[in-house]
Amino acid sequence: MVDATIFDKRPNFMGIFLVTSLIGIMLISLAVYNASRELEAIHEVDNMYRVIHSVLGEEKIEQILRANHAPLQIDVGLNPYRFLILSDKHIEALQTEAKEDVRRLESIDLEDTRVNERGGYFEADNNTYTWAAFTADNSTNQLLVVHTFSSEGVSAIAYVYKKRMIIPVLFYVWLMIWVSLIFNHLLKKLKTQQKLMKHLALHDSLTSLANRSLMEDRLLKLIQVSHRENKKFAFSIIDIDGFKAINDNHGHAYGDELLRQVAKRLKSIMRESDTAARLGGDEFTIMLNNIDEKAWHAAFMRAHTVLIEPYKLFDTTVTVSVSIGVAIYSVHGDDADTLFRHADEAMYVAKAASGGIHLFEELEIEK
Amino acid sequence: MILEFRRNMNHWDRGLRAIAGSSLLILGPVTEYITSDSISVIIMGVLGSVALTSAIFSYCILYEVTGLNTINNSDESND
Repeated sequence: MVDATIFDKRPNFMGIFLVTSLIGIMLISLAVYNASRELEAIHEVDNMYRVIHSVLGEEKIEQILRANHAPLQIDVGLNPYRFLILSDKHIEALQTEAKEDVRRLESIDLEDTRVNERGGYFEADNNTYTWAAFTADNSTNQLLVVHTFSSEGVSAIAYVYKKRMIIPVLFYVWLMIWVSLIFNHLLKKLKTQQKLMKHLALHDSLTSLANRSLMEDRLLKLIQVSHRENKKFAFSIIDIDGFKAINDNHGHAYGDELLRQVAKRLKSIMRESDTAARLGGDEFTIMLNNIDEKAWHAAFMRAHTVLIEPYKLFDTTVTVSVSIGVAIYSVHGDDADTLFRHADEAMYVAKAASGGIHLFEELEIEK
Repeated sequence: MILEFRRNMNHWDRGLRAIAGSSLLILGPVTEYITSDSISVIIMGVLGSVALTSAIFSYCILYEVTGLNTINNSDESND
């Protein structure tokens, strides 16, 4: 009688958001790492230009370009600066240490590696090299200075992360957790509403029993299963005799309460696999599947006994009679319409005899 | 979704928010102890202010939109 649905699953966005956040943070960290290294290289180019310019001066640079000879070694840090002459046609090393740089520079387009008007950097032989170019008024050649770039290393990057990234990253993760909680909550509310709407569409609002649509759907499915497995089931229509009189004498509130109590009593005697439904008005139906003749006979007897017991409706007690008409698949019909019609006819025969389930037995005996 | 703006946090929650909010403001905009990065300082300032404000009013809008709360009836009646 209970529909197990996908709605029972608990929504959870937390994992999705945290995993995507982690991927995003890793990508951003990598980008920051590369950007930091690049900025470091650019800073090195500017620093190199400034050092060379201040140490050599304009005149010395002119002399070097005119005479094509290297200046005195300028060593800053671990890697010395190496000097080359760049003309329109070729690159010429001014020192023996710079010969390897000629090979490297010939394999790249130097202008593509330029980052500003002073110079640029390029990667070759698993190293990064910065370069700065110097010109003189009376020469078309350029003095090229190359330096093997050495990063400040992990500490510099860690400093950048600590200073710039920790708080925004923590804030971002915090925000993602809240966003996922909001999504979870909204989805949960949406699913609850969907479940409620589905329940309202398939159940009777007064008694919470299955309505006619759901009953018809379950009857069709039961016929398919019983046909496939060559089994019988009992389909019955139940009518509450005297319901109209209660409505007229006591009011609709009493009639509604009577229907609620009838539904409650029906539910109390049904198995989980059986279906009880309200067809409308004072008519109900129950389907007992996978059951032998003795068992369904006993079940309907029990239903009748339970339903004719007095009902306490607010300030009064009423007693009603009940007419139950039963049709058996596939004895009295092998399709929904026939079964329904036969059960209805049986119910009217019972009703004509002032209610009871004996009529059903008599009907069966007659047949 | 209709916001009700009803109190939704208990005294422990308020206390923790007051401490966290003050700490964020002191470590961020006031002393720049953790970092002097402007974006980080702004984030800490905004979050600290929001935490303090929510502690003062016993109301957190994020609790409301996520269906959470740390208050119970006895706390509410005491307030």
